[in-house]
Amino acid sequence: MNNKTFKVHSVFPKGVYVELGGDIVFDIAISRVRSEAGITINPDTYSWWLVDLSRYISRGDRVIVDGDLIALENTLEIDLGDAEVYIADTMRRGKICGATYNKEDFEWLARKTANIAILLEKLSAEEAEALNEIIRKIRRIAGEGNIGEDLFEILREYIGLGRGLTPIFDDFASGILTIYNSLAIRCSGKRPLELNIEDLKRTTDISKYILRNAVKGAIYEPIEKILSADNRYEMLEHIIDLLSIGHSSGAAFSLGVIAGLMISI
Amino acid sequence: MDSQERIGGIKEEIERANSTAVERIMESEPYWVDMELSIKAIPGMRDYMLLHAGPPIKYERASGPLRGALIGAAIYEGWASSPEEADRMLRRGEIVIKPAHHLSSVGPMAGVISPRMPVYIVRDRRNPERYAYSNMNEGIGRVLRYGVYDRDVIDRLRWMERVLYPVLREAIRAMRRDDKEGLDIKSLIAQAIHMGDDCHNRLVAATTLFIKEMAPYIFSTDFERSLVREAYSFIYGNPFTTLNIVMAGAKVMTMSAHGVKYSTIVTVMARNGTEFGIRVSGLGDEWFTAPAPVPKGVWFPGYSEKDANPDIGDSAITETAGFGGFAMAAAPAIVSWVGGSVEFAVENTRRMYQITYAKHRYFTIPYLEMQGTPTGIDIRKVVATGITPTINTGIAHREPNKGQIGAGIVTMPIEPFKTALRRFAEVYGL
Repeated sequence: MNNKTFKVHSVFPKGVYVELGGDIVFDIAISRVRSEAGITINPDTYSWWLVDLSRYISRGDRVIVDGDLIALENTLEIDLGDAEVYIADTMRRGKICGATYNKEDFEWLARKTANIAILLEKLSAEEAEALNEIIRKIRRIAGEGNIGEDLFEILREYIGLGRGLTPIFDDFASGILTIYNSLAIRCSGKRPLELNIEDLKRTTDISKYILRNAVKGAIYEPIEKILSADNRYEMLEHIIDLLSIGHSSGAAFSLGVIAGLMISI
Repeated sequence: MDSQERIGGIKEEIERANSTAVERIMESEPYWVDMELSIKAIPGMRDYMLLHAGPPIKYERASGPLRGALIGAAIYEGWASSPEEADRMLRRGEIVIKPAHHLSSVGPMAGVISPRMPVYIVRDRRNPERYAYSNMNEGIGRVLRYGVYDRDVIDRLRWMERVLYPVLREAIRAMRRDDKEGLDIKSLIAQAIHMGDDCHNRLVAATTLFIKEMAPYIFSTDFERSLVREAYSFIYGNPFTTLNIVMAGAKVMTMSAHGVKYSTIVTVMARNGTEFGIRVSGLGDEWFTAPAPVPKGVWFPGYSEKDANPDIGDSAITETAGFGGFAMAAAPAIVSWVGGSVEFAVENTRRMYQITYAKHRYFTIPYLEMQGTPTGIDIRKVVATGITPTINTGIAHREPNKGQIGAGIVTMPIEPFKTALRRFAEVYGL
């Protein structure tokens, strides 16, 4: 895999935003930060973590992304390879599988999420509408029963579409894949989608990395909270948490999660 | 109209509303104009009523320092002759407790204001019908606002009522007879920020400027010289003298921004020691709350985080109005009091720009090339970035009658901002 070098736009508690060609393009979630001096920053010490992190990284620094590793010049490495994820087998799925969510609940969630994302300027109205159109398409094919092959065709068609280092559609696709591949087997006895992400030529290396993890059905804490919600209002509360990720990434991913729920339960 | 057009329309309304709200915060002109006992000054204040900091809370759920301050105020008023009797009266509801914010008032820490406590009266010159109120500052350590109710505290409060209040009242009235509007609080804050204060936990410059403005009038009063000297020494010895005055000023500023339809700007942030709560300009008088966090502190000798009460006080009104912790880059010396590093103080101000609507037109920071302070917390930006307001604060012991045990930094929880955003979506049909 080729190394890529980006410039740090800003440092946040949840990670580092980097930019490419003047646009903020990707947020790097940090689970573990290791400095050359051997200092490990513990994310549990939340409010002080940012302060510590900002000692090592600041706006304008150049970071190199090489597969799972993000390096800042010679002073810092952020290892995504060891990132802690909650895999499907360890998650609590009881509520979501037995839940009485219906079509209206998910349509309500998709509408609210899109509107709030527009309000927060995470998505433009056009982007939200485009994703809603894709959701409608996915619902149609889900109704026809051949979700695997047809969904793969949609991914082929749209992958790489949208702005950002992780294009908006890819974030959306990550949401669908994460949910489908972690829930479909348990809730509906369906087979997981086995996608060869390397076949998806048009997207970026970072996006492929994220999509590969999504195919594994890797669930991390915010998603677990969504799945554990007691009702659609509580679900929306947890979906709002995701909106702060990246620029458009969290919003597109959230809509993907909702689409995934529509076709998985 | 289709959904996209409607949302586009609402976004434009929000932009207009937020611009109006923040403009009002910046252009408000609070002046300290008078002093009076709270029962005479504050509309709605009545006998057997105590005001407190933060969102509404029942006495049974109140934190140790808030209970201590309520008990102390009941003793100060002469309603109870012992802490036990005061506690019983409060439990039975014989004494009503109410958030100070509900009566246009603010108080630091427990923020307890009783009917016979003197209050500063602050008026908005831009809107002479708009008033806010705050009590007088007692200093640091073992004081009522940190939940202490022993004899020394009650005696000090009575001395303040008997000596400090009449002297200051006469001084401000003399100032106004001198063809002045009163004490210009916005100008005081702007100057103090240039002199190294943040005007929340560092008020050395603000209090010095206050003394400079008020001393001629204090010494021109007709009171016995020894009493005037007592009052002056107390002011001189307490750099927090001006905290309550600038808080009332900040309350006037933020009140002017409240009630703007479609606005997502926060107009109140306050803590009662149990919960942290916010109010939002376009969402009426509803509180959005979450458990109050425990500050990270610099501890007085013998104390640590395990002794600390969750954050308490109305003083976050300073950050809501665009100074205090949001202006920490102007006050590097504050880190000796609240902890952290100078780098952190600068970084905190920089980070707060990401969740605020504007840079203040009048409160500027020399170190940041005279940029305005971050002003007008926008719930949308808080939720969009995941960054919540970080402020500085005093820390009270979690038990009543123990007092202040440190000062520190506290980052507010995101939940109230999220809940407010969700409510905004409901109210405005999104």
